[in-house]
Order: sequence, then C-alpha cells, then structure tokens
Amino acid sequence: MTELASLEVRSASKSFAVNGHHVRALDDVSFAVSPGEFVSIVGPSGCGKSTLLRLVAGLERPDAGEVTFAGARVDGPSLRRGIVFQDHRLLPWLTVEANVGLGLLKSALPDAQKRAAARDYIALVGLNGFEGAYPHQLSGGMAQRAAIARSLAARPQILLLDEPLGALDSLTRGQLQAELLRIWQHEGVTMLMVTHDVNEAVFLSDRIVVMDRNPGRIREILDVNLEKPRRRHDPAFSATAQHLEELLEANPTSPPHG
Amino acid sequence: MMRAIPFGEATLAPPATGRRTRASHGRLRATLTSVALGVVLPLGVLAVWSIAVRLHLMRPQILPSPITVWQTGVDLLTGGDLFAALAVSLQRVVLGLLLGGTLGVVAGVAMGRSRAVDAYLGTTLRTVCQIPTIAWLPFFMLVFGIGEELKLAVIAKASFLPLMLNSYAAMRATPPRYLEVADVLELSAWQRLRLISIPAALPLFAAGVRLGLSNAWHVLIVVEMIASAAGIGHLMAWSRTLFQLDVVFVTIVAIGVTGGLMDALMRALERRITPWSSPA
Amino acid sequence: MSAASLGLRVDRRSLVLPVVLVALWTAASASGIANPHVLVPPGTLLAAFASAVRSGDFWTAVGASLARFGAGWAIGSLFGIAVGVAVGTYRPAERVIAPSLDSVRQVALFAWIPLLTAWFGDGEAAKVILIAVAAFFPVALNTESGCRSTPRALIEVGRVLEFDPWTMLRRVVLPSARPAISAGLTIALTSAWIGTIGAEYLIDEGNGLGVYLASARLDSRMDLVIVSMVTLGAIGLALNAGLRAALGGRASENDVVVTDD
Repeated sequence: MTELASLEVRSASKSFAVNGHHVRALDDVSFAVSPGEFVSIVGPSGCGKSTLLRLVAGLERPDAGEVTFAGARVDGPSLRRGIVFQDHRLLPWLTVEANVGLGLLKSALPDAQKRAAARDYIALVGLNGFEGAYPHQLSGGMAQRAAIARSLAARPQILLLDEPLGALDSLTRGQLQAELLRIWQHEGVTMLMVTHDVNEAVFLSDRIVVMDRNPGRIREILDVNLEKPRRRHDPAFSATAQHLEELLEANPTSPPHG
Repeated sequence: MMRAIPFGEATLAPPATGRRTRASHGRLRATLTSVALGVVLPLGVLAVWSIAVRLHLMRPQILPSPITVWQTGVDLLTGGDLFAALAVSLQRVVLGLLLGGTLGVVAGVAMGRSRAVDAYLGTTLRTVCQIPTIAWLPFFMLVFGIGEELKLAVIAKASFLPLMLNSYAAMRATPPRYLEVADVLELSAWQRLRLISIPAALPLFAAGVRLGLSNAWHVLIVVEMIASAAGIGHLMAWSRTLFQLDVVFVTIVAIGVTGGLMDALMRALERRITPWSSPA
Repeated sequence: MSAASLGLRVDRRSLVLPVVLVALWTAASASGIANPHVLVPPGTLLAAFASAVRSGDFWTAVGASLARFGAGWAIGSLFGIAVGVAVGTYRPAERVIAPSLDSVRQVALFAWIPLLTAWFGDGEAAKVILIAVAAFFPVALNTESGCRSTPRALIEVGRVLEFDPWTMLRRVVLPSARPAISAGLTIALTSAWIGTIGAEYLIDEGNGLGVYLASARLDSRMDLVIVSMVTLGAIGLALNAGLRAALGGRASENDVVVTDD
C-alpha cells in the first residue's frame, strides 16, 4: 500500500498575461488535503480552479506562495501526483493495455507482473475485454476510465482530476461518478478533483473548496459529513447541494477590487 | 476526441460476420451504380475516338484506332517490354527516393528539433528548393552527364523537399498535451521519443513519403524522355520519334496506372501504419 | 525604406551558409581543382548575369515565356473553375466526371508532350495546352473542394429564401468558396510556370526561357544555365507574391489547400 501523504497549499498566487492584461488567476490561496480524503474544488469558470490543480500537479509554478506535498516542495510533475485530464490524453497509437502500462514504465517490477498489474487496473475501472482496443474505438466514458487506470497504475500518493467527467453526457457522467467513488473506496488514494458540477461534488467529496473568481480566491471550505455512498434524493444531500449552489450564485462578477 | 455517446458504453464495431445482410446488398448496388456512372465519360470518349478514326478526322499516323492501341498494349504486356521498361524506371525511383528521402528526413528532423539548425539551414534550403526540379535538369546534366548518376541526382532532388518539409512539420507536431502526460509519467527522453514524438510524427512523415514518391515518379518520366536509353519515359519518347502513336498511348496509360497504383498503395500503407488518423 | 520597414526580418544566421558556400566556391574555382566549365567561377557568373541583363535576346525570351504562361494559366484556370464548380456542386456531375479526372491526373504532366507534339506540332498550341493542363488540376481540385465545403447552414438559408440554382451559386457557393479558389489559382501559378519552362525545354522550339536554357546546356554554358535557373526561380516567386497581393491578403490558415500531389 503506498504511503499516503498530505498536501499543503500556502498562500499560492498565480497571474497570467492575457492580451496585454494581467489576470490574477489565483490570489493568496491556502488549503490542505489530508491523506485518503476526497476533496473537490468548485467555482465559476475563470476562478482559477484548473490553475490551482496544475500547480499541485507541478505543471505550473506559483508566482508567490508554495505547494508542498509529503513535506517537500512541489517542483515539477511526478508520478506521485497522478493527474487525469479532461481530455483523456490516451496516446492514440497505443492500445488500452499499452496506455495503462505507461503508468508502470517506471516501476521496478518484472514485465510479467507489470502486464498483470495493468490488467488488474483495467478490470478495476470496468474495462476488461477492451485491453486490445485503441482509443479511437472507445467511447468518451471508456476512454476516461482508461485514463484513470493509467494514472492509478503508477500508484500515486494523490490523484488529481481536472474536470474528468466534464466532456461526457449526463448519463455517462452519473455512471462514472459511481465508478469513481467505488475506485476511491477500493484504492484509498487521496483524490483532489476540480468540477463545475455541484451534485458531483456533493456526491463524492469529504470536503468542498468553493472558489471565487476575479481574482481567484477561496470563498469557503465546506465539510460534507454525510455517509457514503450518498443518495442524491436524500434531503441532507439536497440541502448541501443547494447551499453550495447559493454560495456559487452569490459570487459577484464585479471587477476586482483593491 | 471525446464524443458524448448517449447510449451504452460498447461502441466497438460489431464483429464481421460472413452473412450478407440487406445492408450489404444495398452497398453492392451503390458500388455498381458508382462504377457505372464513372465509366460513362471514358466510354463517351472512346465512342468519339472511334468515330474520329472511322471518319479519318486525323491521319491514322497520329490517331491510331482504339483497337490498334488495345492490341499494342496487349502485345507489350505479354511480350514483357512494358514490364521491363517499368522495372527500370521503378528501380531508379526507389534508389533516388531512398537517397533524397533520407537526406530530406535528416535535414527536416534536424531543423525541426533544433532552432539553431533551422536558422542556419532553413532559409537557404527553402530558397534553393524554389527552383523547380525540371530547371535543375540542365544543371545536373552538365555536372553528371546523362548516365545513371543523372537520374539518381534528379530523383533525389525531387524527393528531398517533400520529405524535408514533412519531417520538419512532423517534428513540431507533437501536441503539447501529450508532452504533459509524458512529464507526469516521468518518462525518460528515450521513452518520450519512442512513445510520443515518433508515433505522433508518423502520419505527417508517411504523407511526406507519399508526396516524395509522387514527385520522384513525375520527374523521372521527364529525365527518361530526354536522357535515357531505357525505362518507360524513354519508351514513350522513342516510339514518338518513330510515330508509333499506339505505343505512346499505351505508355501514357502505363505511366498513369503505375503512378496511381503507387499512390493508392502508399495511402493504404499510411492507413495501416497510422490507424488512428485518417490521411488527408 | 529599410528591410525592417518592409516587414522582413533577416536572421543573420541564415546568411552564414550562403556566405560559406560562396567562399568555398570561389576558393575551389580559383585553385583550379574543378572543371571551370562545370564549376563556373563567381566572376564569370556575374559577368554572364550582366550580359544577359543587357542582352535583348534574354528579355525577349523571358517575355515570350511569360506570355505563353499567362495564356495557358488563364485558359487552364477558367476550365478548372468551371469543372470544379460543376463537380463540387452537382452530385451527378461529380460521379461522372471525378473518376476520369482523377485517372487523368495520375499521368505525369510532361508525359503528355509526345502526344501533344504529334497532334499539334512544335508550335504554340502544344505548349499552351500543356500549360493549361498544368494549371487546370490545382484550380479544379481546390474549386471543387471549396464548393463542396459550403456550409450546410448557408445552403439551407438559400433554400428557405427560394434561391434558384444560379442565384445559389452566385450568392452562396462561390463567395464561400472564394478562399479555396484563390488558393487553387495560386498553386496553379507554380504548376503553370513549371509547365511553361518544361514545355519550352522539352519542345525546344521558338522563343522562351526554357529554350534559352536548353541551348545553354547544349553549348555547355553552365554560367548561362545558372543565370536561367535563378531567373526562372525569381520569376516564380514574383508571380506568387504578385497574385497574393492581387487577391488581397495571405491565405488564412483556415483555408483548405489541396495540392496536386
């Protein structure tokens, strides 16, 4: 079992230059994620949530503040912090099995064990039978599952998910949310997910980070203390979802102050 | 990339069965109709041609009858002359393509990967390649004479440019999002090359080979027409001098068919090597 | 008018290779290790350039080539647009014509010369026809592609407004296909210019840059060969630039460009 570690984001700020303007994507953002938690980041578009995730992944560097994981500063991308992108980014010229196997390239296991491990993860995400398929033969949902399997195969200490279900239709999304929950419960991996879907966040998360935009700031961090698996029609569920929506709706779209 | 499929998850194509369904009957009919429509024009031309011959609209010396052409064609095919000529020509094309193509790939890859190399070589190479291959012919003839080296040089030059351009583009074609995946997966430089850069570059590279082959074939014909004692281009020019227009017709068809077959073959190869992207 | 104001950025590194090559060339011909007829000394070459520029014959030849080129390109383009529109807009036309067109396109351009000279002799007709054929295919292909990719949405608007076919063509299809047609015409410039030089060179009769080139080779005048090569390359570039300017702006990246490969 991989040793889990905690994530800390301390006063992170990040700006981009867009068409000559300076955009403060993130302004003094701080929060922490404990080992084994499932945390979601929600917010209106443009609030910097994807940027925040990319900082944690190490694909971007903060202008100010820092991101530490397992006690060390995040300096670049790493297998320890796996990431599932919104566009699955499966390599189109490799089969599902080969793609998942990419996550195992760095492991010290002998080849036979690597193959077996890949097959296990493919089965975990419910894709058995499709090991030999190519990405262009898969549906969106299946491709995303394969991407999840690839990230998990590397046995990350935290799994980052950047709107993983955003490109899928609502039916598939519902199915995959249940899958994601099952995988999380099975693997016990810490998960940090960015989503714009309120119900998705309430369904899956232990805590929800609600963000503002212009500039990107944390507005509130909600604790969701309902037992999992959660039922969407539960009054407690609905109440939380509604509260979350209110928080998001209350986001002013006024220009930055100060 | 991501398609929202509203029903079910299984979208793999159903396994092919041997049974003919109503759908495949319809497809058969559609194909036959296409073929029928496609031959309308050639048949029309054939009709006009036959009438022109019958009415002696042009001297039989320069307008042989379709039957004569057909007969000559059969003779040349069965007699082996046609294949012999084509063999010579194809051999030259392949050799020249290998030479010029390899140089082109090396240049294209070098320039694609290194901005410095691109800066030093790029402009010069591109300017020189502005001059069409046919204009290089007299130059090469003065340098190499009219032997095999000439053909090799000309074909190499003709295949160089498409392969250089396409290799260059291929090197720069790796989508950054895959490179991010490589970052996260901590792939080594060699793994990146093997698993990402090279496969991503294959479609463009394959197209480059196809274009290079096509260029080479077209250029070879010209060289053979004026500076060769063998090959299909020579056969055409020689029979023209002898006013054997029937042979000329046959060689035109042979050149077209060979060119077309090679192109079709290359496209099929492209599809096999890069099943995930459709060649343009 | 400095180079910068023309919008030209010259990376100095790109000049290194040419300078080195010229230096090597000068050294090689000065040392006498190479055949002076093949490796013409730079001085001789420049002298040849100068005398060609001053010679009336050279410019007459260039003029003759350009005239032929213009005629062939125009004729070929006209036919190309006509056929391209027909095939790109009218499905039955496509199914009848396209297969034959694709087959004929497979035949290398210059392979038509023996036949053309047998039918039309060594005069202007054969050459202009060849140039027209060279221009025809790129224009036809691109026009077809442009017409065919007229957005469905716009066609539907035309139907709702009850456009007759001619109006549909004039108001919807052709304007939408304009970038593709322009791209085809531009590519046809290169094809037709190559066809011009090639036809003149191979038929070797009358006046023209290609004929000039052929004579230069026959006389083993490498200096004149190079002068001709550079001239025709430059003319090709100028034609391209000229047409681009005339058609207004560079082709955008969104234009579908179909090359006759």
